[in-house]
Amino acid sequence: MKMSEEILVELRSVSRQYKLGKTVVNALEGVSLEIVRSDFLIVAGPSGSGKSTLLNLIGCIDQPTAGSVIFDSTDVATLSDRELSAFRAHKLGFIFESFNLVPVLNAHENVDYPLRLRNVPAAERQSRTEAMLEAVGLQDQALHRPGELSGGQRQRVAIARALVTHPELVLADEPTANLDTRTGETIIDLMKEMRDRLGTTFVIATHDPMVAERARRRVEIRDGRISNDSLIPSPR
Amino acid sequence: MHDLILALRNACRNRRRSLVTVSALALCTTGLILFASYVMATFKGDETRTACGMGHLQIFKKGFPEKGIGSPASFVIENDGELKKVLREDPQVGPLIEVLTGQLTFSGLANYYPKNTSAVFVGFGVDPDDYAVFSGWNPFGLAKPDLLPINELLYQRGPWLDKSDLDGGSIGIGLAEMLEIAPPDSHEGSASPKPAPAPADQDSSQAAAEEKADETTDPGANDLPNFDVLEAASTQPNPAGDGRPRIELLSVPEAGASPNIQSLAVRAVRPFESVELDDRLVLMHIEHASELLFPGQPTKVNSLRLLLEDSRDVDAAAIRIRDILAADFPDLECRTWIELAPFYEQITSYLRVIFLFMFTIIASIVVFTIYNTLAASIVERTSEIGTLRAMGVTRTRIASLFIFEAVFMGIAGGLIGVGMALLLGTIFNQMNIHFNPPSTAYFTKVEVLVFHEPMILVLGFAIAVLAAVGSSIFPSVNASRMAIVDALRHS
Repeated sequence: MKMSEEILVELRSVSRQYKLGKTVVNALEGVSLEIVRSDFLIVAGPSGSGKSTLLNLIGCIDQPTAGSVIFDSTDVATLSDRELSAFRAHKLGFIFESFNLVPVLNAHENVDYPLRLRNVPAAERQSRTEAMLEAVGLQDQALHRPGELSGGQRQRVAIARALVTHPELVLADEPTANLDTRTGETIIDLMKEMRDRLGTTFVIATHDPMVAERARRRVEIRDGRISNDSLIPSPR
Repeated sequence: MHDLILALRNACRNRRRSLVTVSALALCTTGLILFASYVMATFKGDETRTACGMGHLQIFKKGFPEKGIGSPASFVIENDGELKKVLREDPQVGPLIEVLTGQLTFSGLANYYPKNTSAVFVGFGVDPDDYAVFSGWNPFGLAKPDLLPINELLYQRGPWLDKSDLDGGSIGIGLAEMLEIAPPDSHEGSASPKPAPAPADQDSSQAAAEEKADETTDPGANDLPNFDVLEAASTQPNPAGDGRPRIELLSVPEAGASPNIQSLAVRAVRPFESVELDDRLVLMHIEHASELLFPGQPTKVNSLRLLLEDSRDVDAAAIRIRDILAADFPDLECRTWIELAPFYEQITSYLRVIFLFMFTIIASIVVFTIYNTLAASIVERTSEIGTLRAMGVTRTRIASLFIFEAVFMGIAGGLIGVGMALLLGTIFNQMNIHFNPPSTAYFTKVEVLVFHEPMILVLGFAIAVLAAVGSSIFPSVNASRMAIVDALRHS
């Protein structure tokens, strides 16, 4: 990381434990990590290594049992639930492995939804939603509900939904896991394109080598600890 | 607005489950409305019968209800004309009055010489015209017993009294039975007297009467008068020259006084409000009754009865009348019909308890149904809840999404329930189901007041919606409090 790059998220000695009955599972142990703006970062590691837990903490949808998460100079532990909701609505976008679109809303409405949470005026919502659907190549499927779209199309809608608010950080948890290789490549290329166009920071948890090849930075986790954190000189 | 649309779409998401829920809600609402309408019809029916019989308010000398019937002279209201004038001219009471009339209530011994029979009777001396208004009071539009075909055998259609027929009166069927008196089989004062069957047809008439009795919903209708006696009596020859049987009434105005006798022409035999009254009552012209008790004296009354235009004014009128009496007529008191007829309160309390019981069961079904539906819906949509929360939707908004869903189902169930109640209530009223209420001498139509009491429909609908909302709060709040990570992990 260059010193001149601005830090967006900082994890300071973060640990996360889960209780499973009488057993305590250490999902993360003393993890420290800095994520700079406009980064395209891959969190890699085997299943159960703590990738999703790390993303949950960065995404402010979980709290560490020790350590602190500083997001854009704000210690998220100091925020109330309502403040955290507003914080996520304004600063974060999520892309899930199973797309997680709202099935009763069509593609346009799904993309429009986060803008409503931010009380964006109707005319601006309309133009931004249309522009985002066009950017992901789904302008002709705008009125289709998720059940009428293919897996790749659904993930494109999910990307559009995550990016339509111009968040500072997009977290993607296994975004290509439910897609075939070709569609997965297209989706990752689309995310990179969005990063280049909008300057959005991406943190992607994956164990898909194709995704890892395209990252600028690769963080590897094993047994709840960062085992490797490296910049990739010339990603694809 | 968007949340409402989202909730509506979610409510339609699992159509079969929503349909079952809405159907259960609609059925519960229908049941609640129909039962409430039946209870209301019972209340109003009792109120109508009681008001028709005794008025909304009565004014008499203190102690009259307890002792007056055996000593009518001691309780005569001397200045009844002045009191009537005061009441009619009072700015608060006057406008509320439909009828203000005097009545002479007394007791005595009735004799029917052709059969050499006698029986104790209670006499009501009333103004025929005022009595007709009392009898016709029916603000709730209920089916009047005397107009029901099932009661055709019991009632000879009125008028029971006639202003010009001074010595003509009506007696209860029970009293007629005891006196073995024949009801008049034809009289110019009767609008549609029951034609006397030919002797050869007597058996078939009795069979028809029994058949009618068997059609009731209460096969053990023991309070009904003896149809056989009525039929048989109607075939007997009339002993009096004017075609009407005559009975002799003997009464004393007060203890120790010499008895007086008057003859009464029986113009109608009919059932009265209760079996007790029916076994004793003689309804007669007030002038005739006064002549029996106080021969050669002006007409006297021992109670004043007020029929109001609206029953809801009873308490206000009673308060004002009591003030007037306390100021200018201290020996008189005023009682409301509820005070004079404690059975009304007993019946209404009883029905309220049953209604509360029914309501509790129905409300429990509604609450359980909605809770079950929402709980299933929440389990199905756990991952979606996590997604929305991750996107920045607040807990309150998540809870409100599910509550709105319940509201929609409550509205749909409530509206369908109201519609079904109106339809089934209309069909039910058309079915003309009758029964013989306890201690009543005639059949009463079982009715549901679905159209007459819109408030019941409104309340039924409101209860459906409120029950739906109430039962949705707990699962909705639980849904909103899910840990986002756990919700997202749910598959």
